[in-house]
Amino acid sequence: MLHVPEDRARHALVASSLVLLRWLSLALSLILPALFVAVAMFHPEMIPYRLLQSIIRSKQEVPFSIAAEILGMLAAFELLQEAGIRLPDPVGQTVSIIGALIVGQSAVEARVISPIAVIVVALAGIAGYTQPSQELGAAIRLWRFLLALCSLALGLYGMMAGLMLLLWRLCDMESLGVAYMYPACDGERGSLLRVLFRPPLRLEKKPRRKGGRNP
Amino acid sequence: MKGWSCLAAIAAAAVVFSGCSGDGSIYSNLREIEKLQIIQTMGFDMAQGRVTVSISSGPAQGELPSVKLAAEGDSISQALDHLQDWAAREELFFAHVRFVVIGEQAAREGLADVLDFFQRNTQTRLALPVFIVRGGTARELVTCPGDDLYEITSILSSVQRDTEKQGSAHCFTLLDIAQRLARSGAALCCTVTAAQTGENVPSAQEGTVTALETGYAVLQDGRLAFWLDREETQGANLLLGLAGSESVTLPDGQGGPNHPGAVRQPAPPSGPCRGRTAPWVRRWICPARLGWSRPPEGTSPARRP
Repeated sequence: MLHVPEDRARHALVASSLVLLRWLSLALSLILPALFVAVAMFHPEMIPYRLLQSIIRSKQEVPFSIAAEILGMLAAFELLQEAGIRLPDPVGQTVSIIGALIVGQSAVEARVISPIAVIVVALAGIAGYTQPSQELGAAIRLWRFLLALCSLALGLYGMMAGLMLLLWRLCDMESLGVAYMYPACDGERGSLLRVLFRPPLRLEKKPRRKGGRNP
Repeated sequence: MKGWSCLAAIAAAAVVFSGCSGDGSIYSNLREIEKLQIIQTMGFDMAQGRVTVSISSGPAQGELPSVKLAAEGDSISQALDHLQDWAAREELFFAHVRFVVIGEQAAREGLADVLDFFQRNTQTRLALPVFIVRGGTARELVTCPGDDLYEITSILSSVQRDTEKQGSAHCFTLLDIAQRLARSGAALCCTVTAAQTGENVPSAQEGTVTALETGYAVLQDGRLAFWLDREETQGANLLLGLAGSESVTLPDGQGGPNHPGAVRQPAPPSGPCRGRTAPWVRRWICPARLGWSRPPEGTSPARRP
């Protein structure tokens, strides 16, 4: 899912670094808003002192809770993204600039939202754009909301329960008779490494398809 | 159907694990971050069965002013409840406490309550440097007047850095003390005195209070037994392998440290004393200066920590 055809034309080290970067982006995009909600609302002792002071200072006159800020910003981000796609290119770019820069900056200066919430949502959104697959990206956008809601309910416990649910769902799915998690789940030596890295071409073996179905 | 049953079971288990809360969430740990009052230094005093807890939030940070409060109660929990009532913000937050200060009288009455509080409290940690105020109370030091530069957290941070850098003393943590008390019944603790800056520290801003490191306190059976002065502290550091790079003056056996023939030599680097140094130091420093074999007044015979 996270490999692209261009990877085969690059050096193994460069391609592997980019694949790892995409995995990191996937994790950031999926869990960063939920992690921030869980840690800031339920486990602030995990935040280092200076960062905590900075967050408290920036939150002093903001009327909304952290969860409301994050969920609202995620919704606003999706709104901007959809508006940018549907409008013609020049207008879409203008909408994006006005929405992201001017409205965002004004909202922070007016103390409607805190800067840290903007940073978290923007980082998660940008990380989501690195996904090669549009379908995976769309699924991540939905799960981002779900995990943030799980964190709002139960903190880190909720986030982990949501992630386990997601993993269970991924392991349960099949596509045209092939397990969705293939080749990571085929039990062959080195399969997981091939998922996480792009090995040198001289070491690459053609993967066997015989064990692709879920047990 | 099976999947939905699993989902319901996971959700039910998560709710059970989280506990209950009346704050609008089913998870009892919900806290609004902007309503937290971070505490960086805690002080404990005990007198006539009453406990006084003093807190300081550290230097002012932009729009957040420095907060210093003290409250008295029959127990530490009761004093903390009073502090909570008087605090301007909704919740005192102790997860980022950096220093613990204990008054002399409280140390003489015993550290058991303080250690127990830090052990049981879910927010606090045990790996916190602890200082005993020699000849004073923790309250006068923690709630001392002064600007951000002479705020107790900054002062103790400076004391800790300087003493460990110079090797003049070692800032033992609550965990160190608890472990040593449990293992041998005795422990060392760094001591400070409160000093008016105008008199004792002429270079500092006049009218404020600062802390000066004065050596070690020896704790026996959880109580303060006696003090070690600066020179004795250096000897104790040598024995414990905590000596830094500071020079020490040692007697040459013919008249003490002030004799013209006294040996002035740099302390060995950190680490246990080895070879001929250890017995030499023990022979000259232990009996003469540390007084390990000297039972302090009103206490059981001393044991080496």
